[in-house]
Amino acid sequence: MAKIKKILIANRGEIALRIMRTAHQLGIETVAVYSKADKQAPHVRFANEAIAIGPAPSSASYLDMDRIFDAARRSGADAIHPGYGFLSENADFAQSVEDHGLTFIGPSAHSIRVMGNKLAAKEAISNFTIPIVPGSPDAITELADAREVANSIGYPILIKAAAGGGGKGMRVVHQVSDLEEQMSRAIGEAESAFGDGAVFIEKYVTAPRHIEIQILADQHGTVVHLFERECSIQRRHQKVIEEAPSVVTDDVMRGKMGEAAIRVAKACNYVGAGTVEFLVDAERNFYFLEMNTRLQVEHPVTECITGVDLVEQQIRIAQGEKLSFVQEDLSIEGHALELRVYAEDPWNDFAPSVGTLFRYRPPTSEDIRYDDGFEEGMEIPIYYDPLIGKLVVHGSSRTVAVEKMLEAISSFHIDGVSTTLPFGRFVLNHPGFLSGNFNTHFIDQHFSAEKLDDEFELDRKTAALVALKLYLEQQSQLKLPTQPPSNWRKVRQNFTRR
Amino acid sequence: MDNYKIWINDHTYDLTGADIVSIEYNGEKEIVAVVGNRRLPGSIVEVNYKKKEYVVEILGRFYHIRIQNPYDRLIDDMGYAKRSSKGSEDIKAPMPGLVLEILVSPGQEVSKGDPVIVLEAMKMENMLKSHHDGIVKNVSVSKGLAVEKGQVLIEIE
Repeated sequence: MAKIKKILIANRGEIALRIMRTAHQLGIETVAVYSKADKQAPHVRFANEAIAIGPAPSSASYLDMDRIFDAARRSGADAIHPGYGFLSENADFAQSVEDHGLTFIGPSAHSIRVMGNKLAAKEAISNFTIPIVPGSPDAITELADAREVANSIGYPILIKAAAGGGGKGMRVVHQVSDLEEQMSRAIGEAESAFGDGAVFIEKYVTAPRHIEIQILADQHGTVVHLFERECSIQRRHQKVIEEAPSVVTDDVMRGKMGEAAIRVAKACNYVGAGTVEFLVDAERNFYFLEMNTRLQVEHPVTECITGVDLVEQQIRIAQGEKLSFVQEDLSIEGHALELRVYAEDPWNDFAPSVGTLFRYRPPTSEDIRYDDGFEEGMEIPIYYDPLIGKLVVHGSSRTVAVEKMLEAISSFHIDGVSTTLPFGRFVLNHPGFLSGNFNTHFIDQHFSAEKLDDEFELDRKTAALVALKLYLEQQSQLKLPTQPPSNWRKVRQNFTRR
Repeated sequence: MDNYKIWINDHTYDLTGADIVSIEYNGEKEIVAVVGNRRLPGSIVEVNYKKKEYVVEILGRFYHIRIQNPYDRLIDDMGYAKRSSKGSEDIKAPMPGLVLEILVSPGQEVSKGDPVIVLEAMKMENMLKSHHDGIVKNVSVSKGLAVEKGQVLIEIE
């Protein structure tokens, strides 16, 4: 395989920038693509060249394969990196890239196809001794079948989109009376989000933790794992805070999960960077959930504790290089935390917050890594994911990492949109999180707008007092009366004496 | 002692000049506010004495503050304030989006917390619920319509 000379990044925002940074470090040129809404975005200016690919809606731009290939042709790119989301787990796209004679920086279309469908994935790993959660082996379309499966597994159950990912297309059902509505909503969401309305049913593991293993596989048969990430702080099944390593694993468990993850990767002939997700129950049993055949949003925490640049490895693997290290070379150093800074309002059930970043000054310090795709003054576009950036810290221990994250949050100046930063502070001060004794229900169990208010009561009252003090100081300096002119005073007294 | 009503982000306080905080300055704008034994770093971002509007940053968060002094209050009490509008009962779009499904029709009775409309925005389905018990007066939008933030979707009385 030949060295890659020019990569077209078929993505936007923070991940496009992040990929380009590594590409440039490796001496590889980059091509950015952008929709009309992203014309002024940083990733467009950072790349060596940029090509417009259509109007704002994703379906007409970042998801439009023809436009992507046209941009590749015009720019002379010899490789495409799909980032995450968009076309990254579209097997047809991966195949098309190869058919066009370009290098796809990711796994083969076959791996994507097999692991992209949760039912097919379960089928593929069935001979590899990998524990899985009890569930329906096939897709379910009839309500009667759903009822039957749900009854045999036992409530609560989870309805999941077979083609799903990123927390979309999942519905928990606690009782049979909710089944019909939840089935129809799940199928609808699956159809519109993934173009495939197939859903299946799984046992809903109560009090589960979501722990995933990062793997790297080269084209020469070597597969290694880069330990785990704990991703249980989620709302609506979307991750908000991740960390590496997990509090709940020990070396033995980590070794077993790592080996299972490697077997999963081998089961689909995986090449590149991938993540194997597991559910961990209260007894620390782990069950295979799914494999994500792409680089994940939360990959930075793994990079922090291992010192490995995963994008660099993706590129090297795509170029046909052998992995330059073996499993024994990898070790965990310290502890890393990531807070996803979403444009969402935690006071309003995390409703998306639109607006302009009229004040935007992220913290800068040695132990802070902040991956974003925005600048002060930019508007948050409504067409895409509301992710502003990823705030990542690395500390010598979990306690130190938590302190650093709290410090980072307090130095993060942002105004114009609501964000998940206050939520991050709430979690990092919460004994449930600090003890490490939490699961995916943490937000439901411990968080509310009222509790968030309590967390910020002192700050808020202090700000009000500061303003009042400034006002009174200025008032006394200017010697202006607050009371109305004297002939009104009698009138006021009449009104106030009730 | 004069009483001041303070609006700050979505909250209000009733404070007097006796509710004190001491401010240490690190230059013109950087401050440390000392409240009891707590020290909170922040900064003075915007000052508008005439409008009585201030922006103060505490620990990274920006607070937009408006002060109402006793005189303003008197004006309010005398009835020049806006009378509360029935519009607060309307369901408005919290952000721009697309109407996916309308779950109620005019004349229908709804209870507080009943889902009334589903909006799609930022790749998610957002189900909006009724704020209180009432009867659907009017559905101002139709399925498939793109709506703006603040746009009235469903009127409930």
